[in-house]
Amino acid sequence: MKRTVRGIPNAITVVATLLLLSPPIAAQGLRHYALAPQRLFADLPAKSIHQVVQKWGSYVVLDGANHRVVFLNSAMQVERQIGKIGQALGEFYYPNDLAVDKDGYIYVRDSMNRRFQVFEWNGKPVGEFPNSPEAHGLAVNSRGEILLGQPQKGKLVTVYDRAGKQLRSFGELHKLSDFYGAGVADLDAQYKHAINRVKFAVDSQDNVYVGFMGAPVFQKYDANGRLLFEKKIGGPEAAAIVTGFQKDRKSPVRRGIDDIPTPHIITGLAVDNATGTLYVSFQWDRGWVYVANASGDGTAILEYPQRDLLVQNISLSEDGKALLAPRLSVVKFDEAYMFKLPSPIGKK
Amino acid sequence: MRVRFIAIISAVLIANAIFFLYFGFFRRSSEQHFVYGETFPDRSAVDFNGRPLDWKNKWALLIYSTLEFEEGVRNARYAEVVFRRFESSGLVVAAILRGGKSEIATFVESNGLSYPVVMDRDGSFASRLSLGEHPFGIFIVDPKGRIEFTATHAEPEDLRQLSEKYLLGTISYPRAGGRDALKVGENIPPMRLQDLRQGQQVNLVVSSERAVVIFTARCPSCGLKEYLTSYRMFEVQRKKGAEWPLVIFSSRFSAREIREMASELDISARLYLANDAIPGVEDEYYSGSYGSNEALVVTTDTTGTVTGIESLAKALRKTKGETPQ
Repeated sequence: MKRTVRGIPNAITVVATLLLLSPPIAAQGLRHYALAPQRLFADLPAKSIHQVVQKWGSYVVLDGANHRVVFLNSAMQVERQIGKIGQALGEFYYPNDLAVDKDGYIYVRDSMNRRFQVFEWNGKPVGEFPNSPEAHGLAVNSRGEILLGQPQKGKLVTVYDRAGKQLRSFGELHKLSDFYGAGVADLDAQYKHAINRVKFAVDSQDNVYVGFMGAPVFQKYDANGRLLFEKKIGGPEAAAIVTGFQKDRKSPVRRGIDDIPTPHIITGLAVDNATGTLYVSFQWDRGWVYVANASGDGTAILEYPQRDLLVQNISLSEDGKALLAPRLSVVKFDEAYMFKLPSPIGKK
Repeated sequence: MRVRFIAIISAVLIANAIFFLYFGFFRRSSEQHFVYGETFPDRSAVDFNGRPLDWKNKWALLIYSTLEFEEGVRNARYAEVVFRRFESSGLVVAAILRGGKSEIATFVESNGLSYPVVMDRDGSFASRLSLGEHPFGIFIVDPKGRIEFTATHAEPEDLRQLSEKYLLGTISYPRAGGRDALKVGENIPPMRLQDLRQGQQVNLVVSSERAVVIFTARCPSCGLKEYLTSYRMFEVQRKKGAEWPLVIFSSRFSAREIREMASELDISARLYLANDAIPGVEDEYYSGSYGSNEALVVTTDTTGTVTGIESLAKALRKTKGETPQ
């Protein structure tokens, strides 16, 4: 009897401890999975990989410091490349972002030539327009319209045609204190543009998913630019990011954009057109992927395998079973990885 | 009256046209850099020793830099490799360096530059090149004097790719390292180094049992702190009584940054900066190396023969007793 009575407080302690440790996860129904990395293109003489996209069975790899876009087949053999170092039409100087649309048009942010260039799938350049004011975040919808993040223009998203003609803009700007509270309101002016730097994904219905680089928050807009939802990334990791920023007033990984140390928290978004599943890659001192359903509600958190394995961007493989990501590192910047999605998440 | 009115309007229009022509085309503000397709302002110059040089009807790679700007200095050094490779193909390589004659002479001698160097004593050449506040710029000029490429940021590898593009018509994309890589069983080739503690030039010949830690990097400024922090761990974990490792940095690192960082991290070993590409480890022309992403630990036996080559990270895991991955 005595033994039983003594056992009850112990059991209560164990249950209470478990509850204390797990409520954010349990409350939001977020399941945690570890991602397994598979190195891609280890034999490719690349110098800095900024983006990897799979299209029509080819891997399209933006090899920024070699100033080119490389196409590899499924056997990882180089088939061709677009561009080389230079400043003429069709040439690049440190390109650092890329998107491919449903018709195979390729859009490249030609960073140090301060322009965007558009190519047909076969590599023929079909247009260019200036990157001004400086944009970060690039996506393309099914109509071949180009979405850029240019908060300097007063909205989160500015839409252009392939000739660089501005068509429309949408998305209200936020303040740093909207995400991190009144304690950082004194930084609002300094971070006016930085906190509105975004990453994009577009689904087959042209809905636009926007992730704030500087905060664990994402949004969904319809094809007309109407806000459908704004969600915070759930789970203890994102909660720790918010408290970490409130305490340190900076994030451990930052990007120098407009001479401001822009927090680099959301690194990329990808959407599965078949299921509506949204993947949001985010990081603090290590990286994760937040998995959300079509309504933006979190279903899982995927953890990158190593603390030092951060990513610059993500895209979804054509079969929907893996995420493709170039590594974010000041040293190992020529690496890219495939992360197979755990079976309950990716397509069977 | 009407004639007078027309005359006044015409005068105003002509004045406007002159104003816009002058300020729009002929006079460049300091922020209006030359761009692709424009005509380079000069096709000849005089080097700092008074020797004339010209690049009429030739391809030219011209580098402007102040002597303090590390990116410019790094490119000016690498331009020597490009010059040796492409001089016979008709490429004119020249650096325009901001500074006085003696400073430039010292720079040319210490870096072994054999291509022509032009002196920009007062910054007037920089103004003519419309570089504004930029301490560095590169120009590729075609035989007709047209600017084929210009930028205020470049890596040595870009100079190689640009030279190959215009002189050979094709660009190679080699993997780092490779061709004459150092192997186990060989001796570390002798090399000329700068002793960063003593400030002397030394000829290094390894003829004893020791570890040689070699730092190569594509982006030395990016990697230095990470590398030295790892090295510090290696130093702490070294076997009792073992000789201090020799620590050699690629010539692409900055002596000042190494000294500052080593002092900050309290590193005890002798530190050396290579004068040229480290033989067997770096490929001078391709500006690459094996281990460009990771520091290398080369171990030798009592005769100086290489017994092992591995990454510093792997060596650290071994000394900690972990299984190397």
